[in-house]
Parts: sequence; structure tokens; C-alpha cells
Amino acid sequence: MGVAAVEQPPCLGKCVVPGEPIASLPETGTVRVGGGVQQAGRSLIAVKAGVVQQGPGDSLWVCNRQKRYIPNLNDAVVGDVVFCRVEEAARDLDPVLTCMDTAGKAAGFGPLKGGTLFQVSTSHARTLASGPPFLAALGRSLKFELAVGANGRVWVDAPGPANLALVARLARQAEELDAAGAVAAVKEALASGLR
Amino acid sequence: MEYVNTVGLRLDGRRPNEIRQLRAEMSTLASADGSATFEMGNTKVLAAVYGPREASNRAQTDTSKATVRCEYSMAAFSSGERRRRGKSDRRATETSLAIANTLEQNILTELLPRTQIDIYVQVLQADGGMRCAAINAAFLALADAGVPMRDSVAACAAGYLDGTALLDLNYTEDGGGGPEVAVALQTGLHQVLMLQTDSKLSMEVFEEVVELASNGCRAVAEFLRTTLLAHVGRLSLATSIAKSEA
Repeated sequence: MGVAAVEQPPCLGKCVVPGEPIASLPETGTVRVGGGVQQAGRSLIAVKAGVVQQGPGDSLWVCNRQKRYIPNLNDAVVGDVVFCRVEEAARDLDPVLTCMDTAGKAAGFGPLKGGTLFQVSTSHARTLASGPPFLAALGRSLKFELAVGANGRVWVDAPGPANLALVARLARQAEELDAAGAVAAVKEALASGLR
Repeated sequence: MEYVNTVGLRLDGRRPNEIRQLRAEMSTLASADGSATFEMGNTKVLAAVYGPREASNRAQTDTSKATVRCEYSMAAFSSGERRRRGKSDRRATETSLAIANTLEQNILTELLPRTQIDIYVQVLQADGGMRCAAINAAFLALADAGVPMRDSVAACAAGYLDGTALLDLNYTEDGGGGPEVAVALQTGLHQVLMLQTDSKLSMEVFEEVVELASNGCRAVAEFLRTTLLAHVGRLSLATSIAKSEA
């Protein structure tokens, strides 16, 4: 896929607990460290309980099922009624939100009218935002609008309260199921609804 | 009263170096950011973590690191007789401070300035060793909440009765009048986070009891590690399948 072959670290996908060493620093070169990983001497250790993943820019980070959201730059978040983007997120200051993308356009941000708002864990929000197959399957039969925030808040709107409740329920249930199971749950829900 | 009989068995049939049965459950409270229930034999403790969140008292905000607070309480139904303890129970305050000080050393507080981490621990069933069970439960709850920590923590207590060092005393053994030493260790770094005793004991006995308690900590550490990995395991399954679909 890429031009340079990036060596996959063997620790990817490993479940870790706080204090567990993930990798040791190589003699030369740079290593990108993401959330949940800290440097301790010549090795990298996990500081959260989760799964080691590779993030943007080949960084190593630990993915965990956190409910509390810590602001990160350029994350899209859903506030009480607003879909916005985290513009400034310094460690020592309050985060600054904006309703425009980096180019200055609206790009889908802004106040959200109607629909319903609910909360999921931050890791499930990430899964939903990446466009899982069950949402595509649902979209083929139902019309709905979905806004997913990295802060774990999800906003859904659909015509009719029954459809709205259905989409919200399926989006929440998908956290407990794997991809194939979620698609099956969608098919089952649609089949029973049409009866 | 005989705490260790002629065959070498204790009141509940354990050997002197045997720990009680350990049980744990994570994410037991939906409203808390992190929660866990931990059982050591009949002692059952529930811990809930709220945070890191904005400090409730602006004046107390520390601009360089997070503030860790703990509130330890015993439910009225936790002991044999229903007894309502007031908020200003001295032992509860002392244990709250012990838990907060122990875990604060382990949390990477400098990563989360101007925030507050609240740990609430409640004893649901009291049968000795509550302090250690509280630390273990609080550690699991902190891990559940995703609070970054330097290392895994395990706590266990040991005592000395009838000329024998005994691991993990229950309520009856605790009331036997012998010394009890509670130890909390960082499992990977092998550092002591807490070592607490309220009794007089000789150097030899002290060393023997601390050694036994440390071994107990290692057993607890293994159990906590298994619990955490199982809790993380489901996330791993979902994530890996999502990756293969992409």
C-alpha cells in the first residue's frame, strides 16, 4: 500500500495491563508514542489496560473502553446540541471548540435539531465513526442521519419515532457484537419490523 | 482460642500461607467512569472512580498535576451487627487517606493537571482485610476508567498468631490480638507503595510477616492481571475483527 515498507511491531493486538512493557526502543530511528504508552528508560510501557494498536503516523497507542473523554486535536465531538471540532486542546488549558473545519467551511458541523442523543464508550464511538458494515446495511433499507462524536456522544435522527428508536438501539447494541453479528442483528430487526 | 490447630490448619481450614478465594468484576456501575467489585473470601468491596474531571473546588486546583481524593466507608450492613457509622469515623478517614496516598503514587498525575480523580470505596461485607481489598478494588476501578498508571498494584495483609505467620487474616483472626501488617506493592517495579501496621512486633517476626504478605501480593497481582486481561479481551476481539473487515 505505502511506498516504504513499515515493519509491523509484533506487539500489535496484544492485550496489556498498566506497567506492562510493550516494546523496547531500537538503537536508531524514531518511535511515535500515542495515548496510553509511556517511555520508561529504554522501553515503552503501557499505562492503561487495553489493546495495543497502531494509530495515525505509525504511532503506538493503547485502545481501551474509556467512558470519560479527554479532548484531542481535530476530534469531531457532539456537545449538547452541537456537532463541532476540537480546535485547541492543550494539556493545561480549556479546550476550544469550533463549528468550522480547517478550511473554514461548515462541513456538516453546527447545531443538530430533533433526533435523539445518547452516550457510548469512546472506543465504540471510534468504531461507529469509521463506517462499520452494519450501518451501510441499515442505510440500504432505512433513511437516517447519524453524528458520532469522539467524546462518546452519538446523535441520531430518523423519520418516525419507531425508526429512530430502532437505529439508536442497533447503534448501541453493536458495541457488544462483532461486525458480522451486528449485520445479522440489523437484518433481524428489519425483517421483524416489516412484518 | 486456637488459631492454628495441631495439624497446621486455621479456623477456616486454610494453611498459614494460603490466601482466601479471590473474585472480581469490572464495570459494575454504569454511572461511574470506572468501577469494580473485589472479593477476598467473605470480604466484599465496591470501588467507583469519577474522573479525571474538573476540580470541584477552584481554589484547590493544582496546575501541575491531578488531585486524587478517596472516600472509604463501610455499609451499615457490612458487619455482623447493623451499625451506622457517622461520616467522621476516624478509622474510615485514616483508611481513606491510606488508599489515596497509595494510589496517588501510582497514577501519572502529571499527565492530567487541573483535574480531580475521585475514588469511592464502600465495604459491602467485612470479614478482615478490608484495607487491602479496597486498594485492589480501587486499582481495578482506575484501570476501568482509563486513568494512566505507572504500574499494576496489588495489596495483601499478613499477621502472626500461635507462633505462626498467617496470610490474609479474616475477621476472627484479626481479633486475636496478634500483629497485622498490610502491604501494597507495584508488581512490575517491585516497589512498596504502602506498609502499614498498628502493633508491636520484633524484627524477626516483622521480616517473616512482611515476606509472607509480599508473597500474597504476588498471588493477588496474578489474579488482577488475569481479570484485567479478560476485561480487555472482548474489546480485542471486536477490534481485530473490525480491522480484518477493513
